[in-house]
Amino acid sequence: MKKKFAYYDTGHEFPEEIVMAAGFTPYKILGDVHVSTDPADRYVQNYICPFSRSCLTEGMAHSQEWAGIAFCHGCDTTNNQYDIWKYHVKTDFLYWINTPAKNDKISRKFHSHELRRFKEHLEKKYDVEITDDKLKEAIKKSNKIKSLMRQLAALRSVKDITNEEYFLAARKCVQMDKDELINDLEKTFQEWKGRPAFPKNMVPVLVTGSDITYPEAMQIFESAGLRVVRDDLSLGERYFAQTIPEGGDPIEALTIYNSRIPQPPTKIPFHVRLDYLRQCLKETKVAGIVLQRLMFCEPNGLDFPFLSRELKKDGYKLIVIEREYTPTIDQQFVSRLESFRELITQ
Amino acid sequence: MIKMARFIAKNPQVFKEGIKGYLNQPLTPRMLQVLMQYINQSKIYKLMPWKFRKFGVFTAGFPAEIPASMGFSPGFPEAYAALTATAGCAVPPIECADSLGYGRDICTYMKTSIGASYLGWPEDFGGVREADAYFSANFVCDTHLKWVENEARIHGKPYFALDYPSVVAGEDESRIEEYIDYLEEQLWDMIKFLEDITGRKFDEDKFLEIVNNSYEICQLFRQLNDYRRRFPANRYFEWVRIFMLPMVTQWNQKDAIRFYKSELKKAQKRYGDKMEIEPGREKYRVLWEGITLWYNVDLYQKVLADKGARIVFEPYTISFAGRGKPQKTMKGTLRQVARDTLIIPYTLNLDRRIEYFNKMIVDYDLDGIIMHENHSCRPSSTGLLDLRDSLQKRWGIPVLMMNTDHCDPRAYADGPMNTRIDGFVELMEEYTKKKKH
Ligand code: SF4
Ligand code: SF4
Repeated sequence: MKKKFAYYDTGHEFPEEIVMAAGFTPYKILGDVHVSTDPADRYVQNYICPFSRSCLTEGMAHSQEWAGIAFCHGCDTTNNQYDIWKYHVKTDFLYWINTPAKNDKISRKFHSHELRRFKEHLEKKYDVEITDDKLKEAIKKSNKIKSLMRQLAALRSVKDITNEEYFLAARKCVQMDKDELINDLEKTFQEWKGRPAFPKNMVPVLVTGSDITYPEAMQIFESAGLRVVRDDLSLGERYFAQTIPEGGDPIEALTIYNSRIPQPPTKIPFHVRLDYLRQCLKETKVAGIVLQRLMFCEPNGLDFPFLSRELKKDGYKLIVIEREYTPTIDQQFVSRLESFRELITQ
Repeated sequence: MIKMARFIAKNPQVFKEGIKGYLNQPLTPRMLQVLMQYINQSKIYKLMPWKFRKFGVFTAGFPAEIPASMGFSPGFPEAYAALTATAGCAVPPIECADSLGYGRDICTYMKTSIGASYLGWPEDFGGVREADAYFSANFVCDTHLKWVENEARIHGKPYFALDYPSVVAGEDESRIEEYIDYLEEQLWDMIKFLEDITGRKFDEDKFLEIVNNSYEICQLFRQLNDYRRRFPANRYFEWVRIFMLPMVTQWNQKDAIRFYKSELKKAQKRYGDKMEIEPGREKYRVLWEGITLWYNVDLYQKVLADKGARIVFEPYTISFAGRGKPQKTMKGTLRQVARDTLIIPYTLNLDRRIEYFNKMIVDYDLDGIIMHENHSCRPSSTGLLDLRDSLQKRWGIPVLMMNTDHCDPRAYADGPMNTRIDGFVELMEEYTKKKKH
């Protein structure tokens, strides 16, 4: 089995294909909501994003299982925590990729430089050659996965696919061996195709906001009778909405790809994120929009007033809600979503 | 004037509190005048067409010298917010921003500014008038990018953002050069942006002159600040925190130079070059890490001072005093500007931060450190616990972690904090005894 190479990003910035071409399985660090963050809390204050503390806890406990770790420039929380990882997470290789916050010609040139530099460091560190052919092969594999996920995701609004099932499929994409994953997704697609139609008692919604990283958060929507049929989450459409160009220089292709994915809240300008949400809403009929934010998640806190105002102006019904980082199904949260459900189905 | 009159009529109580708050600061009449001139400049810049053609909004530390050389009078929302909190009036705007949907954990500089602008308050109370263009950078935080982009969008005005790479621990000089390459390209791009929006050609000579002025201002500020190394430190935090504004705000550079020069002359006259100019020293010399508690000058001039503890150094103020000399070429100067803004004490990575503090402990003969765990500011909070552990391990120096907020007084509880300060002072007492042996 291929060794895992772990990465930590707050969107979908990490170039998985480069580590795939180096012979590793990319593994996205997602923390574990069931494990106490006490080990990380010794180094990171409790008013800082709990998800990030959970990731640090995972890093401290499991880094030896990974060939190396790479960070991508993301939110203020994770950017600043790189140093803390350097001090407290044991690894032979900790690498920093400065993904730009802007998306123009100059920043794309810089991004491509960053990716090339990362490739060179991997080659040196692991004594491998990451050829263009290997990269192209990895890109093809990724595109296959993205295409399968698009097909699976499209079934959400027509078949009986639970929120949790969709989430688990999306999570596999960033943690599982890619060949096994392709088989798994193909099987899942066959299975989901045969599912009964979208249940009448469920209400379709679009979900945006902080990345959902554990199934229990998705169960909350299910408990309130809401089905997430569209999203722009990193464990979701952000990961598979776009295809990586297959021609030309593969590193350039990855740069272009990154500039086209549904924009995470850590990037500017604002309207690109809004444009994607508007496009989703045009393509798929939903009854409402849920803007959920994990406590202390500043990037989404900065985006929400603008997004909610614009979407309301468009005439959509929406709810802005803050959630805690816990596997317990928060009944208050469920009740608020139930009230929202009532409101949007009247 | 009309805006101010309307504000007073609508908010007589806030106005009264504000005046009281300002009077509580240890400001000399000259400093008050300097402040008022800066604030008024952003109100009346249009009346000075020979000097300013436009008004620009900038985030703190942004290389405003470039737009300034194209005639942009600089306005800094953080400076207005800081003054509002100093005056003790930040809570209503913060609450207003909360009601607009900004979460309780979002930076209160930003919320003070957004709320005050929304309420139509004048600059003296945190509001920001519509600008001709908006500029921000993310070298301290992402909040800067989104905050100002949002303002530009609200007013439908041009916006330029500078994207700074993060210099993380372990990165060497060659890596920094790569980052400077990226920044230099963006600075050229900003020049083009300015030429496009103003329809004028960039004036290199003017730019170099402005950079030179910035350099001079920073040099003077640093020289003055150096006097705080002496025993006893001649100027204290409650004074310096406002004293830095002419430098931060790129306020009328010539006047700022004159102002700092005359202050320096006074200090030189009083203290000369000797290191020890008066007998004795402060009982406890303390470093303050993080942003000052703008609303709580009493903490410094009463609570700590009464116990003999004085803040003699703070990386925050000096972070704005890093502008270097203009270079021979335009390219060289832009690279210099990029470097000066890429690495500043406020945003040092952990390796550099620890090294910096180790030096300051010696240079300023410190007896204790207060680290502000600022609810508003994730960038400056992150890494504090490791910094504390490292300094305590090496020096045994007492460190007080102060968990509160820089603008929102509701996050500060006098009672429990005083108890913790007492404990901190006791530790400093022991530490200073040990130091002597
Ligand atoms: S949840 Fe928000 S604050 Fe936390 S790591 Fe993700 S983007 Fe950053
Ligand atoms: S206080 Fe912190 S978060 Fe707020 S503007 Fe300053 S650096 Fe950014």
